[in-house]
This record gives sequence, structure tokens and C-alpha cells, in this order.
Amino acid sequence: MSERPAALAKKLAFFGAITASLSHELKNVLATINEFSGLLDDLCQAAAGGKAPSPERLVNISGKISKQVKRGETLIQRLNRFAHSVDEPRASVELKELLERICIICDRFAKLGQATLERRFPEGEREITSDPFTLQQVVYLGVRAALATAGQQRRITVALELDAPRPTIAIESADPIGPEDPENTEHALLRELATELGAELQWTGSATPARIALALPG
Amino acid sequence: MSDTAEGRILIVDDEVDFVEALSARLEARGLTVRTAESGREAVDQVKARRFDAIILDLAMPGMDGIETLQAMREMQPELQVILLTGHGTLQQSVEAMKLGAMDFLEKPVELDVLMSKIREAKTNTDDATEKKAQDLVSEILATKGW
Repeated sequence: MSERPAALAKKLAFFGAITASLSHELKNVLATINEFSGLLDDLCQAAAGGKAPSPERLVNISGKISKQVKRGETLIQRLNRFAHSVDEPRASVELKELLERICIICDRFAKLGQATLERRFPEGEREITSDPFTLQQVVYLGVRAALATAGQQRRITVALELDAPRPTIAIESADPIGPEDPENTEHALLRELATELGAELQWTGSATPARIALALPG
Repeated sequence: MSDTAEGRILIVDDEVDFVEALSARLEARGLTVRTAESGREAVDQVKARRFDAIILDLAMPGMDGIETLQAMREMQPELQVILLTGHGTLQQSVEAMKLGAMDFLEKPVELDVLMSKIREAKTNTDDATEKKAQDLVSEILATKGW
């Protein structure tokens, strides 16, 4: 089998990481519904033996199942939207909506790293023509860089700045992110993808807050 | 309920609803169940109490399942730990078994399979306890020369 071109391999790795994360969450949803379904079976058996459960208990269980079904629907929607972000290499992208979508996906990584992921988005919308998949990948890599060096504060913010000459996406951390390291494969990939997007990358990892900013083409 | 067993179980998982349902089902089958939402909380529980089996999720915030397994087995090498995960890779299952996990199951799990593993864990725990007692008796006899 011939080796995948390096650029494609990196994009596939991101695609794989996100779909794996979303499918893991879906498995948890199914596992929970499975347990509550089994619990209802147990209660029916107990009822057959003369120990009927209270209506309140049944309502509680059915409510929990409904909640998990809704959670599952939401996850599938996210998975679907993410999968479709590769449809067009250049598309009209509403920046706030795209950032919110990737932030929701990154929330799980932040939670596993015991960090919080905040948003700072302005009022109003801003559309640009860009590659939605690569934009998400760049934000993901920025969040990972911040998580990798998260210290005491463990507070990361994804910001959209529309008051600068060019629309800017910034990943900020209350802890130092450290300098950009060309030997770090993810740092190098972030810069490579920024170039691909026609964006200017500004890395101020020791500032307060530490910051990785991408000034996008208007 | 026909499928019953005795034993003290600790369920460790940050999925609160999942833990609630699984606990109720295991308790209905005669088991005594405690729960923990994090690896740190689980380690504190293991320090405070004896358990016949631990049901441990792999992906948790903070200490993940592998780190928690390691910490618990360092405290009690004979502890019987069943890893439960929604996303098990071969690499993780090998690592878990090397660290002394009793088994590695994928969610959603069939309850009769889990009950069978819990019974196996209880037998292993009882055997380990008996062996410790026998070893202690042998040591006493050897030192006292009776």
C-alpha cells in the first residue's frame, strides 16, 4: 500500500480524532439507555412478583432515557456537521457559528484535561470565504497547545475579534503556552495550516494571557 | 431476581446517569454498591474500604482509568478491577492487563457478562484473603516453633 501524502495524513488524523471523540460519547449514551432499559426490565420482573415500582420512579427513569436520547441526537448532529465540513475546500463560513461548533467538540478534551474552555465572541456575524475544515483544525491545534501546557489556572478562551483590520481568531490561556517550537509537530502543523488559510499567525506564548492568534484574510 | 450474588462493588465513572442505573441493577441482584465520579474519589474509597470488585471507566477527567488502576493496585495488589469503556483500543487493553486489570469490557455491556466477571472477582478476592491468612499462620508457626 502506498504511503499517504503527509498533508492528507495530518488532515485524516484530525478527522479521526474528532470522530473518535464523538463516537465515544455516543457509546456512553447508548450504554446509559441500555442500563435504564435493563432497569425497567428488572422493575417489571419485580412487579410480576408483587413489588410494583412507584409511578414517580417510572417517570424519573423515562425522563432520564429521554434526556440521553436528546443528547444522542445532538451528538449525531455534531458528527454530521463535522463530517460535512470537508464537502467544499472553499465555502462561505460564518465565523461565530463555526467557532462555536469546534468549541463544543473541544469542550470534551478540555474537560478530560480538567480545564475550562470559554468563548469570547462579539455581537453580530461575520462571513468569510475559507476552508471550514482547516479552520476547525487550526482552532483544535491551538486548544491542544494550550491544554498541553495548562498549569494552575487551566482556563482557555477561544475569541473572535472583528474590530481589528482582519478578522482574528485567538486562543488564549491564563497559563503560559510557551514559545512556538518548530520541532513540535503540532506547532509546525498549526503554522503550516495558517499559511494554507492565508492567515497571519502571531504566537505570544509568554504574554498574559498567553495567546495564539490567527489574523484571517478578510 | 434469579441472577444474584454477594459482594462489595465500587463503580467508578463520571457518567452519572449510567452509574445510577447500573448501581440500581447490581443492588437488585444482592450486591452492595458504592460509586465514585472520579479516579481521585475512587482511590480515597479504596483506602477507606474493602471491595470485592471495582468497575472502572477508562476515560475520565483528571486521573483516567489507567492511572486510577495503577494507583489502586499499588495500594492493594490483589484488588480485582474490571475496566469498562466506550472506546477501547487494543493498546489500552494490553496496557490495562499488564497493570493487573482482571478484565476489559466495552460498553454497553451485557449485565449477565458483568455479573459473571463480578463473581469471578469475588472468588479471586476470597482466594487471596484465604492465602494471606494461611501465609500468616505458616509464618506464626515457623517463628513460634510449636
